[in-house]
Formats: sequence, structure tokens, C-alpha cells
Amino acid sequence: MIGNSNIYYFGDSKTQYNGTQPTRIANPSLRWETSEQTNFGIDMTTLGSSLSVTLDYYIKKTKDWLVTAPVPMLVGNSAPIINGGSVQNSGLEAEVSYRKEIGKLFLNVSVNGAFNKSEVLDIQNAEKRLQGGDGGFGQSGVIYAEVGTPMGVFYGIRTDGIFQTQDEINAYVGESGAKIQPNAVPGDIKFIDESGDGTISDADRVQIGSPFPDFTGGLNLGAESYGFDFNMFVYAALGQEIYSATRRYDMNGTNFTGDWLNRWTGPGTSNHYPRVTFVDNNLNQKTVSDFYIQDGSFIRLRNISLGYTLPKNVSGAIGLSRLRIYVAAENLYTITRYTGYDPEIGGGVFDNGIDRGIYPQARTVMTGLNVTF
Amino acid sequence: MKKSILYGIFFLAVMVAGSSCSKDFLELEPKTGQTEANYYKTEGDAFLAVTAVYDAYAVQNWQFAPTMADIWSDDAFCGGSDASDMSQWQDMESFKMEPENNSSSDLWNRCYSGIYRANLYLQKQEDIAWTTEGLKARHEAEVKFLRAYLYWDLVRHYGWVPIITEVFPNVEEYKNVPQSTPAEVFELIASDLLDAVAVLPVVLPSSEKGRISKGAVQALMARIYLYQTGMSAINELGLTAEQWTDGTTTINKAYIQSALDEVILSEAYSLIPSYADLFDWDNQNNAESVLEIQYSDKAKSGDWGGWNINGNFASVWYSVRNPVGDTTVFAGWSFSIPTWSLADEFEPGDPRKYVTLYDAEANMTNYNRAFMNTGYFNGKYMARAAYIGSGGDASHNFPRNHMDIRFADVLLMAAEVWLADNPGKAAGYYNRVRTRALGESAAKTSITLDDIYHERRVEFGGEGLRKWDLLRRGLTYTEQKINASFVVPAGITNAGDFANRNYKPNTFGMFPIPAGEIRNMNAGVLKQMVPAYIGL
Repeated sequence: MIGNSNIYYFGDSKTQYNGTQPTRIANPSLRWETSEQTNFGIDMTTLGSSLSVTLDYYIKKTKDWLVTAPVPMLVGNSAPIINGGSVQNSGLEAEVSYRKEIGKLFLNVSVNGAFNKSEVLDIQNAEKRLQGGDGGFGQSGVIYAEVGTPMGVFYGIRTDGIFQTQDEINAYVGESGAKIQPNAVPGDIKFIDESGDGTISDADRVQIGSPFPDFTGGLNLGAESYGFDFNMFVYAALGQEIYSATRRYDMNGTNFTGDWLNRWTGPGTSNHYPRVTFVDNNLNQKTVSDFYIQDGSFIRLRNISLGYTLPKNVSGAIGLSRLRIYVAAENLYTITRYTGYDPEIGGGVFDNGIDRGIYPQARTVMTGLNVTF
Repeated sequence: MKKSILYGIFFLAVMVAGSSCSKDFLELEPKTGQTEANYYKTEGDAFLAVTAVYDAYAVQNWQFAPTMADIWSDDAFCGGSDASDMSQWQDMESFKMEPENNSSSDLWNRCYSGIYRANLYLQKQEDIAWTTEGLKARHEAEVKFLRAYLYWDLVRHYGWVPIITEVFPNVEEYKNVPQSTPAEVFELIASDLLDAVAVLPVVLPSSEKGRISKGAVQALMARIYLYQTGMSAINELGLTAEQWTDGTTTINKAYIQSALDEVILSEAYSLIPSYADLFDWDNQNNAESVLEIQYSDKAKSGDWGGWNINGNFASVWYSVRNPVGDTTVFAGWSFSIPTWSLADEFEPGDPRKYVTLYDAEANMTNYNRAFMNTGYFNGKYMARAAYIGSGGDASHNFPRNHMDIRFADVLLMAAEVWLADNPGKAAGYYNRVRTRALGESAAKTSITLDDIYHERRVEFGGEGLRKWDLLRRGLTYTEQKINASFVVPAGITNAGDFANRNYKPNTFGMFPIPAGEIRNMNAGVLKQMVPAYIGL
């Protein structure tokens, strides 16, 4: 498609002309993505149809995976949509539900869970590798995929705590005996020289985390009795990581979060948070590293509600066919170790799990009255 | 039994029919909008495609080359709110740029975006139904000038860059384009400029101001010639003085002498009598202007991403923080702070001094004396309250053109190239610029290169030329001048802001290749070639 936002002005009176260019690079050889899926499943119902169990094992192969993979800037326009390669997702999904009326109590419980594994089988370029997903301002290329990895994992330099003393910096040398981090001072992050070349550079980047959960699951619990109704839904996603890109890492004068009060201020004060400085010669802040990786697992109470419906004869007496009062809450409680606003990050394909200061989901508490005339 | 067989055949037929038409069913042409394949048809389409190339020439995208050049040079300090504000410029100022530097990637991105638009245009111009005599040749010449300009920005900032002169059918092909040598990039620039100079008009009517004229091509050739010749002293760059050529025509000293004489004799340009009027916001595209980057508030820009800012964003970067007592000034961010060394360069009574330098101590009751404050601000381009745009974000809409090439530069470049061969002629050109500011009594009968350098510095302060003037006189000269600019005058309270700035000669004034670009190309295709960045 042709876009017209390349504005320039000509003439003494500066007449505006909306210059045109394609909005992105075209890809005439684009093919449809195809996928084939194999499922093995069991559906079981027992105990007088009050208990049902569903098990499903699936293998889904996606070929010619459609993706907007980053291209070098020298291409000169936004990346085309390409057939990135093939990906296999496999996993096990299970659901157990129990519905039973026990006297005046009607009970409805279901638990579901899924284990998923994603693996890139092929990438259709010479490098057999895709690179993308910017981190915080000043950080580029946080996500990559290559054959054998899930489709889009975090890619950066591993860290090994904080240099407490100059002696530790002096002792951290490569094969030549030269300091691996010559610009470091005590309080700076120690980066691991994965490539063994005696310097810290892009060559030291490795997989440092994955935005994909190992397990996702939910618990739904419902009960009704004597006019009361109760319902709750708990959702869990476990085993994924978050890349915290919540600050401008090129600008050390911007505000920090409160946890930075635990920063390094002298030997022994912190082995996690580096010193805070305007002049960051060690690139503590700008380096894409596992310092920004956090456990993103969470268990969240999505919904909970409690209601009471007046007996028909009582509501009928005041001229109503039904009257229910209730109190309900959404997003009431979350168990997580993630320190950002909200561990539910999401993101597009190849841009997953990077928290660029996502607006947190609101916690909502409602009380209400349902009246039916 | 028969019935079911019939049903079976019917079902099979439907399946076959269904699968045979599925391809047409899936491949659809867009019903609205235009695509790359069907857009380029009329002369109007061609003009708008050329406009997009001009846009790449003008876009500042957080990397405006003249601003960065001044910060790097001895004319301006980085400034800003604190030592980490625009760290990409602070690192430039402190000679410690690294490959993740945002300005490095923003400038690279802007240059190649424009080169793509130019290359696409040069391919698509063949699809246009041309009816106006000479129009195709003129647009092609404009686009080649702009492509040359963008490669010139690339070669002086990165040295070794991939040369791309077409739009490849497959995006993967770009990932293998190797870096060319600086000499090869200069050769392409020469070729494009020589093509352009043969075609473009000498005089532009009022409605075409902002477009490329022949004089702009000739003046840019001179600017690049002086740089190329000067930088040939640096062995690593592999350039040869007087050997800037497209393979047929050599743009050497004799070529530039006659080209500049032609511009001067064309009488298409003249010095305007008052230096202050030159930078009057209501006097843009004046008689002295050879090429201006046009900025306006008409598009009501307001996108902080940087690509769609169509006013002069630099005006806000330059202006005073929290100004009190001078309501003509629109508050800005105090970047590119003029140095004491620049202020000291002016001779007593030179009226150019306080056009170039806005003296906040003298003109304001208070302001935020932020990082690297000297009390001076860029008086030529800083934001003015009277010119706040009519919409969008005020910072993005200052209608202040940047004077890219002006006639005084043509005269002083001509003085420089004639200095050895015809000193009298050189002095004549030089005196035209000097006496405009200082009066006839200031004329000199004989001049030296140092005289020209002094005149250039006081004439063009804050216009982004100084860095390149320094470099082309050699790395030792550059080092002396830059180190001198960091000498803090006695009694300055913020002396610490200027400490620990260690000039590094082996940057050659260049930037590292962006790290993201190295990653997104095929492995090993791009390398840091500038000595200061090898191993980063």
C-alpha cells in the first residue's frame, strides 16, 4: 500500500505536499501459512455423568509461519510480512469437571490445565535465525528465535552479580590477562564473557529466558444453595519470564522504582542492583542482560462473586418476578514475584513478554441489584 | 444403493470444484488504496514520490546532523538537563560512543530510508506517463542530488557503508551487501552529483524555493571536495587528494574553482546587507540562500516518534530552560550550548556575535542554568514565542528553515580554493563576507588559511559546519581546538560539568555502525572499521 505521510514544503509560501512511498516493503512471493494438527484425545464421563474428564494431546505444525521479522535498517522501509519458517507446538490439555446436586447444594467445579511446548523447526533465511523486539529505550534486539528455540525468546548477556571491589574487577580477566570490563568500577554489573574473547559484546548474548509459560491453567468453582450463588475463577500461568523494559535505559536521570533504594552503595550492600550514576561507562543500564529478566509466573483470582436471590414468594409479594443482590470482584488478588505493575504482558508474535510499562489491569469491586419485573 | 453412489459422485465433484477455484478465491487485489505495483503513473505521482525523498533530507528524527556536528566540535557543548540527558549526544561529546548509540542508529536509519525512496523512484520513473518536456530529467537530477547528500551523510559519519542503488526484489538480498570503502562511496556521490549538475536550473521561481538548483549542487560539490581532500591525510580512509572522481570526470581543485566562480558570477545569489536580517524568521529563502531545509507548522505535527516532525525541532533543543524575563523566547531543553571558545573567537564589535549567541545572563532575569551551562544559546535557531505553530505539538512546528548552504559559504569556499593559485581573487571573495559584517575598514589585502578559518567560524557559528572544517584540517588541529574548548574560564561554578572529556583522534569524527544493524545483517557482513570502535 502507498502511504502519504512523507511531508515536505516547497516555495516561499511553504505549500505542503504529502510525499508518498509504500508503507512497507512488499513481498510478492508471500505464501499462505498452513498448519496441520494431530490430536489424541479422551473424553470420559462417569459417576452418573457428574464427573467428566477431557484429555487432549496435540501436535500442531505451522509451515510458512507469517511473521514480520525485523530487517536491517538499510532496507529503508518497514519490514515485509514473510514466511518465517516452521514451528511446532505440542502439548497436553486436560480438563476435569464435576457437577453435582447434593441435596439443596448445586456444585460445579472444573479444573483445566495445559502444558505447551513451542519449537522452531526451520527458519527461512540464510542465518536460520530471526532477531527482533526492542527492549527499553536504548536497547535493541531483545528477542530472537533460531532452530530449536521457542518462537521468540529473550536474548541477552548473562550477569554474575555486582563487582564489590576494584580487586574483583582487576581479577576478572580474559585469556590475554587483560580486564574483561575495563570501564567497570565497584558497584557495576559483572557480565559473563560467554564467547571467551576477553570483552563484553554482542557475541556474548545467549538465551536468557522465555516469555512462554510452561503451564497455564484455570480453576472454576461455582455453588448455589438456598438462594445464594457463588462463583470464582482462578487463572494461573507458570514458568514464563518477563523482560522488564519499564524505564528509559539511555537516560539515567529519569525516575527509578522504589526497589532501587536497595542499590549498591558500598561493598556488601547489594549483589543485584548496581550503583546509580549519571555516567554509566559500564553500560549497566543499557546492556540487554538477564538483570531485566524476572520470573513472570502468576496466579490470579480473575473473578469472584457472591449473590443472593430472594425466594419467589417474597419477591412476588412486592410485585417483582425476581430480585438478586450481589457483590462481585474482578482481578481481586494476584500471587506473583514480578515487581512490575502487572505480570500479564502478552504482546504480538515475536514481541512477547516485554513489559514496556504496560497499563495494569484494574481491580474492580461491584455491588449490584438485579431486578426483573 | 444407487442413490448413495450418486451422492458420492456429487460430493467428490464439489470437492474438486472447490479445490480448483480456491487459489483465485484467496488471491485478491485490494479494493481500496494503491499499491506499489499500480501507483506510479502520472507526473503528479512522480512529484509526490520525489517529495518523499526531500522529506528524508529534512527529517531530524532525533539525529539532526548539524546539531550533532556542533556538539562534537569546539563550537558547542552537549548541554541538556543533566549528564545523562540525550546520552547518545553526551557520549558523542565525551568521545565514548558505543554501537548501541541511538543517534548512530537514527542517522543510519534516516539515510537509508531516503536512499530507499530515491532508489525506488529511479526504478518507478520508467512507469510514469511523462508529458512535460524536461520534467523527468529534472526530477531524476533532484533525486540523485538527494541520494548523493544522504551517502555523503553516511560516508562522513560511518566511513565504510554498504552501497545500495536499487530496490531488491527479495529482502534477504540486503543482508549480504558488504561495506564499501570510503573511496567507493565518494565515487557514487560524484557520479550522482555530476548527473544532477548537468540538468538542474540555475534560478528557481518563488514557488520552487526549497528545491535543488544547479548552484546547490555546485556548492555541495565544493563542500564535499574540501572534506574529501582534507580527510585524505588519514591513511586508514584510503582516500587520495585531487582524485575524487566518478571514473570519467575528476572533481579536483580546478573543477571546484570554476564551479564556484560560476555560482558567484551567475548572480543568482547575493549577500544581504545586514547579517542580523539573514536570520530573521520573516526573511527566509532570502537572496543569500542557496539551499534551505524547509520547515513549517502547516502539517500540525505532533508525533514524538521523530519521523513525522515537520517543523524545526532543533529550535526547541537549542532554547533556554525555564526562561524568565524575555518573553520572546519559547522554553526549550538547552542542548548544543555555544562554547566560550566560540564566544572568544569574535573580534570586538563584530555584529555577528550576538546574532550567533543568545546571552541569557544579559537578557533574562532568571533561567535554569542546566548541564554545561555557559550562559549562551544558539541565537540563530532557538525557538521564539512569536512563531508557535497553529496546531499540533508546539515543539514540533517551528517554521524556521535551516540554512544548509548559503552564499557566504560559497564565497569563503571559493576564497579557500583560490588561496594558493590566485591570492588576490581569494582575498576579494573573503572580503565580501568580512566587510558585510565589519565594514570596509576591516578588509584585508592578503589573507591566510587561518584568516579564512577564523571568518568561517564567526560567520557560520551554530550552523553545523565547524566539525567538518576542523576535521579536514587534520586530526592534530582538531584535537588542539577541541581540547582548548574544554578549558573552563576562571570563576565558573559548574567546572565539573566539563571534566573528563578526552578527545579520541581515531574516531575521525565518525560513529560506530549500529549494533542492531550488525545483528540484523548476515553474520560477519558488517564490521566496525573506524579504529576507535573496532572490538566494540
